[in-house]
Amino acid sequence: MRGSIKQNWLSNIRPDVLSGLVVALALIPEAIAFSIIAGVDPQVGLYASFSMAVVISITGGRPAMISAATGAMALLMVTLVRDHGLEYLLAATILTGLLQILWGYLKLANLMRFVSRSVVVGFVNALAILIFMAQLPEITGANATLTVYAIMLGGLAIIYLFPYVPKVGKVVPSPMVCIVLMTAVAMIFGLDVRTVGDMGSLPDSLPVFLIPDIPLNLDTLMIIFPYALTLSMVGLLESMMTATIVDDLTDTPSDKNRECRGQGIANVATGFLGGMAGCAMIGQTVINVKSGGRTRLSTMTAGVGLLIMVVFLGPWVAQIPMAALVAVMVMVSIGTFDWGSIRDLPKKPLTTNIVMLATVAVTVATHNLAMGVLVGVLLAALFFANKIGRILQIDSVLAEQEGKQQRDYHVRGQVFFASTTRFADAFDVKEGVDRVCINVTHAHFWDITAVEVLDRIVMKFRREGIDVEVIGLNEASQTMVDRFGVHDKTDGIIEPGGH
Amino acid sequence: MSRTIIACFDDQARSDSAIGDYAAWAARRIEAPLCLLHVLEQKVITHEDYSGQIGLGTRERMLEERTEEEGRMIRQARDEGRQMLEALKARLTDDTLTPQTQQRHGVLAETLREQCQKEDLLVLGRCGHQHDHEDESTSLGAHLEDLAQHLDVPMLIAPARFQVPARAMVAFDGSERGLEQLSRLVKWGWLEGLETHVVHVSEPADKAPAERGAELLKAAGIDAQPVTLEGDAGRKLPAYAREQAIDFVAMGAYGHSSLRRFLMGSTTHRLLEAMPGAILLMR
Repeated sequence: MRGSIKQNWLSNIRPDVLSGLVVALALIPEAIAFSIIAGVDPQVGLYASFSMAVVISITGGRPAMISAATGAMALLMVTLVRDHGLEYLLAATILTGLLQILWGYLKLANLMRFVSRSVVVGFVNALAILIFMAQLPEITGANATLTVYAIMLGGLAIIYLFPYVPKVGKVVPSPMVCIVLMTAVAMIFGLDVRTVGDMGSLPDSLPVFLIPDIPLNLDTLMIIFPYALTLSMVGLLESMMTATIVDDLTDTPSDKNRECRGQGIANVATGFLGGMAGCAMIGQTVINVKSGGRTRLSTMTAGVGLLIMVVFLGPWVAQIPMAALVAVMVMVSIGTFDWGSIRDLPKKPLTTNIVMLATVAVTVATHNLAMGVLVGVLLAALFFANKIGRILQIDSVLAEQEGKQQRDYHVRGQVFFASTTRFADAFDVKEGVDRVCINVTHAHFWDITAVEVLDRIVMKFRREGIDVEVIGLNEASQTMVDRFGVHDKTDGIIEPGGH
Repeated sequence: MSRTIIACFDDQARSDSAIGDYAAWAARRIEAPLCLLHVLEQKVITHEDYSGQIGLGTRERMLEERTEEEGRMIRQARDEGRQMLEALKARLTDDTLTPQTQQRHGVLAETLREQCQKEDLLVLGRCGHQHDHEDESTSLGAHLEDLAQHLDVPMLIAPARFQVPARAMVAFDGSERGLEQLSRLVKWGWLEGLETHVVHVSEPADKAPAERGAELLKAAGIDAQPVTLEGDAGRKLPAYAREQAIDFVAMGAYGHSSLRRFLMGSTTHRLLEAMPGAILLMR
């Protein structure tokens, strides 16, 4: 994984540079659109995309992954920008980065294993829906004119049909063709539509290092900390998911903890350069890999290419009709959506579908991907606990010894909070026997609840005047890893005791 | 100490490759088992698709297509590689030597790092397959320099054509480490029956080290002669080797620390590039 500079940067030069340029072109409309979602000038998103891509190409743990200003992050900053302004956003961006570096050193990426596949799919689908919904203001209300719809639909037609044109179709990025043609049409016919220039200022120079103009006190921290915390989590979530997608597509490994730290460094740099917080982006990363990008060089080219184009083409960028941007963003939204997850809904288990749909529903309702993921992870954990709780089998036989009636219970399986009711129900305390023997050698007592319920059953038998003997409790309760700290001693390998 | 000779082949290797002959020569010489290893590197598939467009299900389709396509390519490479290995094995097998064959999937450097023990000897081709018929001294294979720098195992670097080595040269720096390397060469029998030149390069010329080295070899019954050259090792050594028609060169390799590697690397690189014959890189 820790390959040489040659392998990491120069092993695939031509495809990397070309795909980096394709991505740079595609990043421009996205960065503008996400700035507008966040409520800041387009230049904030463009600077962010430049800085994120360039820094992450050096510091990241997943070569060929594209990071820039993203929709997931933009959605989280809306209220911060509205209530406190841009300077607080820049400060929050820096704090986000610092937190991500901390998460990286704490190896938080390892926690990704608790995020199940259905939650990931839910996240991706929710993201696609939110990106689409964010375009609605541009095509509804006062903006819902025939011209706007014509530009948008024309743009979509170009994006999806242009690649079928022989020869040029696969050489020139169709989203770029859409933007150029629609801008030309709008300018030639003098169409009265909103353009990027109406949305705020565009960069006319390279970004410069500046310290956010905010009071450095506890009040400021209290304002930006909650935002930074959520941003850092969502940024890493999307980055980890995207990294996995690239791992799969290219059949190569990545260093997830290095990626966490890298995202952090990139966000710190971005904040100081006047950009908004960003993270890895699924859509552009897929485009990069599809176009042949494989090494860090592709990401670097995307960032540098973007800045050069924007700085030199500034006046032209301002003329892009918003409706053409909407067309590109609709494509991004469609491309991000996990189509297979809808197609395969009937084939998948109900609990899996519930987790996925709940993640989507909560995210769309709150506009906060962190909330959706939290709900999804909790639901998945509950469903899992429920399933494991069913692995519990209790048999009993009646025996006669020296004229006394004895019932032997044999418990096999997992006893913990989710299965204690089933456990308790299996014992018949009203049976008229003299003695009861409970063999728990093959049971696993995972928590205090399990131990308590066993105590309670023993008490109940005693109250009925029945002698109780519990066999194999030591073996069974060795599974209480919390008490015995097995995970400290055997280096993470937890061996269930009692077998 | 158990020691295996690992002859490393890529997809382009043919069964008449000189790597096999040199590996077999080394195996007989130091009496070690020989393993013929074919590393199957996944090829990067790039379709010339710069349409920059993603639609419904693009991601899934890409994954399926790639899996299918790469799987097909590597299956074919594996089959061809297996035939190549079997032919090579048949060619090299005799009463004294029965090579093992092995195929591994993965990146070359990673695979070799996993497969090689510290005591093993790795036999690699000098140039990339494109340069099979060109002048040997001009280019190092794309992988070779990387491997020489990052793998900490001894390597025998084979030129494109096999020739039973007869005249050897040992590049000797006069250090304790160098003396130790000389005695190891003797111990493993690398120099037996070869006319050996112990060459020391310094500025100004100092005859003592080369003589000391040659004495050590002579004491072990090797036909050794001391040679002292003045000037830059990176230029003088290859020039001398060509002049004397040397066909086997033994030399120490890159140091361990990255700083030292950075400082020393250029000389070793130059030597690897310009030296004729087979090169044994010791560690």
